[in-house]
Amino acid sequence: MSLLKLISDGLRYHWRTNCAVALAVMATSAVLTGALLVGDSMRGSLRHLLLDQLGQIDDVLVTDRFVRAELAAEVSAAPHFDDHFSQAVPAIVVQGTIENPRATGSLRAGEVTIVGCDQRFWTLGSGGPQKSPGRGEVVLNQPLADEIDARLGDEVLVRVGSQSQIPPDSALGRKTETIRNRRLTVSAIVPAEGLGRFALHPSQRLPLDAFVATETLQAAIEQPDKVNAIFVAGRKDTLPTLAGDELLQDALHPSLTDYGIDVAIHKLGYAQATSNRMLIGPAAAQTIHRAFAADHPQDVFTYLANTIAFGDKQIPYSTIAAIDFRAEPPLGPIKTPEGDTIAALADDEIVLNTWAAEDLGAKPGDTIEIAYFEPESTHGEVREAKATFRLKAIAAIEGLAADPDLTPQMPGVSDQISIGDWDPPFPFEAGRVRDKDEAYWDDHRTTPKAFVSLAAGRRLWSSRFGDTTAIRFAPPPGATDATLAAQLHFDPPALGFQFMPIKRLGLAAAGGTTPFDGLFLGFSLFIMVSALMLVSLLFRLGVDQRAAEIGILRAVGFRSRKVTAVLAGEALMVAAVGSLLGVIAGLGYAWLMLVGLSTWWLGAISTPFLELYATPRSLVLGFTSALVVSLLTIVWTVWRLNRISVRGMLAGQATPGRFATRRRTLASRTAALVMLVAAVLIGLAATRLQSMAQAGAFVGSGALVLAAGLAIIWSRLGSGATATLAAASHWPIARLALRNGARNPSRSTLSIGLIAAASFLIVALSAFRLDPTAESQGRASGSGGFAIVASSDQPIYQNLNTAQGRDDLAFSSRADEVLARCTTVALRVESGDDASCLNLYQPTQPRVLGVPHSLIERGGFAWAGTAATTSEEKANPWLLLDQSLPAEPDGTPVVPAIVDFNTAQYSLHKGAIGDRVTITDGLGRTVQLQFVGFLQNSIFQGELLIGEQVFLKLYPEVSGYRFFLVDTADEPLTQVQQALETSLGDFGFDAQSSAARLAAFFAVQNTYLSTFQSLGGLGLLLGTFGLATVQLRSVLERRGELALLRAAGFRRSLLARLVMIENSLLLLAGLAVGVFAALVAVLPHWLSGGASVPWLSLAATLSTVLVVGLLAGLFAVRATLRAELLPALREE
Amino acid sequence: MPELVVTAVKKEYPTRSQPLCVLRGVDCTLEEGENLAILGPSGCGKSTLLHIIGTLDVPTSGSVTLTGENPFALDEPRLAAFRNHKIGFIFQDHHLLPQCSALENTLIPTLADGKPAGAAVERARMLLERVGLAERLDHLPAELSGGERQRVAIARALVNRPTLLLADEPTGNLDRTTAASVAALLLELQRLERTMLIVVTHSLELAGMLNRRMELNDGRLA
Repeated sequence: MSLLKLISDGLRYHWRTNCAVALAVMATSAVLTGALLVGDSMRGSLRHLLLDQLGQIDDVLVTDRFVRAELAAEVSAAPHFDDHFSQAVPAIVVQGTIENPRATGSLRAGEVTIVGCDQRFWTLGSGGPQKSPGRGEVVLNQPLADEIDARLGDEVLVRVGSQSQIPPDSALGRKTETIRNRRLTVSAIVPAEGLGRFALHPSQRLPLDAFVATETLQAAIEQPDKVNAIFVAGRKDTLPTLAGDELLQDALHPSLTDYGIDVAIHKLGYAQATSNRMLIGPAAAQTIHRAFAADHPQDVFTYLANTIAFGDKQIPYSTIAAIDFRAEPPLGPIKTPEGDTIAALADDEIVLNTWAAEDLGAKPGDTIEIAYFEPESTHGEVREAKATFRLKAIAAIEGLAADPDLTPQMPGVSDQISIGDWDPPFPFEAGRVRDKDEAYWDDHRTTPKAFVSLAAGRRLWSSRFGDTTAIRFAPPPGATDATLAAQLHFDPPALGFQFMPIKRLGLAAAGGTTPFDGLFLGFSLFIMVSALMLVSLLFRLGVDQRAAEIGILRAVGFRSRKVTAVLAGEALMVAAVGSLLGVIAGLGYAWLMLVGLSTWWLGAISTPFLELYATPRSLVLGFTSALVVSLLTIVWTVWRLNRISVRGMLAGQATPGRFATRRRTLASRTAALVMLVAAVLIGLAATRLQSMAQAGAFVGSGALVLAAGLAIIWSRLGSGATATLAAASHWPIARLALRNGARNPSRSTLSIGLIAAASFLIVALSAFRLDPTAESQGRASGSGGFAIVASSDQPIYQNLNTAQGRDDLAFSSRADEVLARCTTVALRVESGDDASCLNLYQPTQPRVLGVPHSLIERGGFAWAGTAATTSEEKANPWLLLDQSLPAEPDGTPVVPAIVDFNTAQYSLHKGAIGDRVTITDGLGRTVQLQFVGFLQNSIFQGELLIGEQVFLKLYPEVSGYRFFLVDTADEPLTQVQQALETSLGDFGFDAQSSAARLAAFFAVQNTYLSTFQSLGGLGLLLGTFGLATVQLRSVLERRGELALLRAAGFRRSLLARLVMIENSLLLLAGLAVGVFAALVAVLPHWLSGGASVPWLSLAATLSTVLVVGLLAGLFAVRATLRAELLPALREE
Repeated sequence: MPELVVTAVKKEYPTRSQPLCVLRGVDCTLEEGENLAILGPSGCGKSTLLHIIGTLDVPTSGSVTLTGENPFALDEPRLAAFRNHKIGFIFQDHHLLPQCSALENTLIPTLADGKPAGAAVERARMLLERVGLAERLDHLPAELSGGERQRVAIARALVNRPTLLLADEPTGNLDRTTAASVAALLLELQRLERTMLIVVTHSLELAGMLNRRMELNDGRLA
């Protein structure tokens, strides 16, 4: 006989009890492992999805200007390209709208990624069509085909933006007729797999993709032979590396054509750099200046004057060049008809050429007024401004003053034969053009009629798009266009040529916005605690059964430590088996959770994409953790036996004597008091916290109340301070049942605790459900009082609040009438990752919105926290966007930003006012956004909000508006929606009710709550199992007593009632403690109106708990009724 | 007519071979205030007879009438009520509820019929006083000695003023001195309450204190 034999004999002999304990350990291990595996599966599935949808594509270059398709070949020809990559494929990627026109009304899908590609694109991954789309054909992915109900052979309308090189927000940019349509035939529908699920921004949601031949798209957007994207494929079976990405960026050498920059030597001897965007941007200008610093560069800024006037005489539509005159050729001089060189101009001086001076009858010293369009337009409204100058001199139209190349090329204007043929993007009054103006155009084309100083010109006409139309310099002797071009080395990222390591970023983002293992572990904690309580309970039952056996061991000289070792040895084996089984069950549990997330709880993840992934780390961690916590629980249970005397144990006593109980009663009451005080303190502190931190504090406070409640119950039961039977009082059987419950306080308290924990979880979570209808009402709600939220694929430049704007957008009279009574706020958009809860990938660069002053002044929305200090800011925290924050010491700008609190916390992992996120602006610069306000449950989830003025500095290239809020006043919602979507359909305008948008967001939270409530249900199952076990065990233990009661005249039904009441009392106590603690947790949330408790379903759930618990109690009742009376009496 | 009439009671238990006959036709009667000791070797069927008389077991044949009523003709609820009102049990093991005090344990039979009336509580107190536990009313069984626990069991058996008191080895777990005092107490209370008493025991000493003694041998009472 050895200790091991003793342990193995014990294991074998008490196999029933050990099996029960092992099952409880299994539950702990399963929940723990399952939670970890859910995290593994989420990450694994996101990663798999990303790798599938990108195929071999490691990097992608998408530029805001169109480049030569050959650039891709040049990149792939770079040295060492083959070390990391296999090919570079040119393509066009734009966002557009696809419509399936039908007699019965068309079906339209916005936010479609339209890829112009050839066969090479399909070699980058799986999922391609059997045949690439030819001219006039389009391939749709299945989600898009479903959305517009398109079938093979259908003709669909593809709408994309015109891709103008001149910024539409500049005065001379085109704001109307910006949509290009093509009618194409659906040649194939590919499943949403592989490249059929391609998306630039990672998301688990199904993207809408359309694929057309490159030439088709090039023709549609009038960019022949040009592309705006290059896909770079990595080598097969290798993952992208930082070194590879750096090498790729180094391999990118766009030509001047790609940059849209031209440098050429003019016949007049000077060299001139110009941009096809009319304006040379600051970064490019800086590079040109640096390259030709030795050649005396001279900036030119030529602009259109609507009118040059002297007195009542006017010249329409002339160009004026802002230039600092030079005396030396080839950059000068400008001379008077008399041959005198005109010196540099002061800022209030102007020079007219002889034609203009004669036409106006002006002479030096006269005041000349010019009228011009302000350089930047808002909502497509170009405003005219005026300035006056003193005529300094009159220039002869010769030499540099006769140079039409002072004016940049402007399609539709500079390329027209006559002014009458102009098709300008600005308001143009053709009737003002006189014959002499046409004659000037014939003779001198775009030659400026006037000159002002560069500083004066920039003061009037500079904008975020630039302040230079040409840079001239004296070319060195022997220079050619080619040698000059070779001197220019632009920094590609500064001009928007930056490869995006799409796969590397995506793989990092596949870590997910939310650590799902942590989330599930957190919410499974109650279940694990329940399971551990069950472990303790069942093990204790076993130990109770074996009290005499333990007593004998002690009596024959075993030291208590050795007895503990024997029992712990048994426990170790039991826990190890239980944990191992739990790991296997955990795989099933995780699988079930994933099935749930893909079906019943689909709202939490939007798309069923989850597959089961299991890492060895999670399996080992699940096994070890469950083993350790279970073992600790068991050892603690065993250790308690040391307090019982050997004699007591020999007599079958397994609980400490009364004296010890009194001491522990005092201790437990003290503990309960401490916990209640702590709960109150945390509750009070929580009132100073915000949103989720506050909710967390209240839940913590509720959990303490629950623990205190259990401690109080334990002490009440332990002290015997339960209902007396020795009085002529009512409910004697209930009183007796209560006394029976008090017979083993620890056991009863654990049973109550099991039910209480599950009830707490179910009730507390119910209160955090969000009601989209309630949250979208009123200005101080999550909708800000805007009934409609809309977005468009193509920017809208017009003001929807003005009749002129609606007229420009060709609103019908009925739609115009509806919209006239509404107020629209338009926001600028810089595209980025979806950072809302609908996207499970960790956002790298979230979408940024520019908030116009009208919204800042209007205010509204619900706030979860702000940095407001003044009363004005507190009343309207939007004002905080207007404040300027000091830049970082290294010069990095810091910009105030507002974000939805959920986005901050879960997507960006920033939870405090003053926290910052780093983004990259449109010029590739790093910018820090500092949170000055958190919106609560708002329609802005997933967006970073900054002031429009700052937005335009960060993203100067963004023109127009793509995000809209509509205050419908008293207009019916559907009418406004219809008016907008019908009138702006070509722009891919999608108007959604705020309530619907909030509902989509809230569905995620509400679905998670359902998921975790289901975990609560699982806990309840454990609780019910525990309760039933305890009751059954209790009945078996008391067979003799119950038999005596029958001998004393108790009917079977009375005994059954007694046992049932005992069970019900434990059940009701558990429910009461759990519900009360949960109410404490959610009361502040509820009182503040944040909670929308679904009372009906909650009552139904709790009723189910009660019924299931009572049914479980029937097992004990059945055992009671079946018990043989005499054997029970005799066994004693 | 005697208050208790046991007539030709037989009890057989089925076994693998042939039925085991424990009681082969037991007859006996008892009048009000009488007491009877049943002696016999272990396994002779004493307790079985006691349980049949106490309606805890059913005879294979024969009849038992108590105050002219045949309990085996009653359905379960009525049988329970019959037992509750007319029979009091004392077992070798006291079967006290460990979570209830001495007073509460004494009152347990009164609960079978609803709430304990004030009179029942008073009677329980009185009985406990009589068994010498006036100072121990609120004590739990664990805080009482073996003799004291058995005295509580006696008080419990008498609380509903039963017609018949049945005691199965009431002193079997007690030392000699305690056994004698418990036996004396039992008999004194039986006398005072004018109840019938049947005691099954091995103890000749205890049997000697009773008016009548019968021995169960080979399934018959003599």
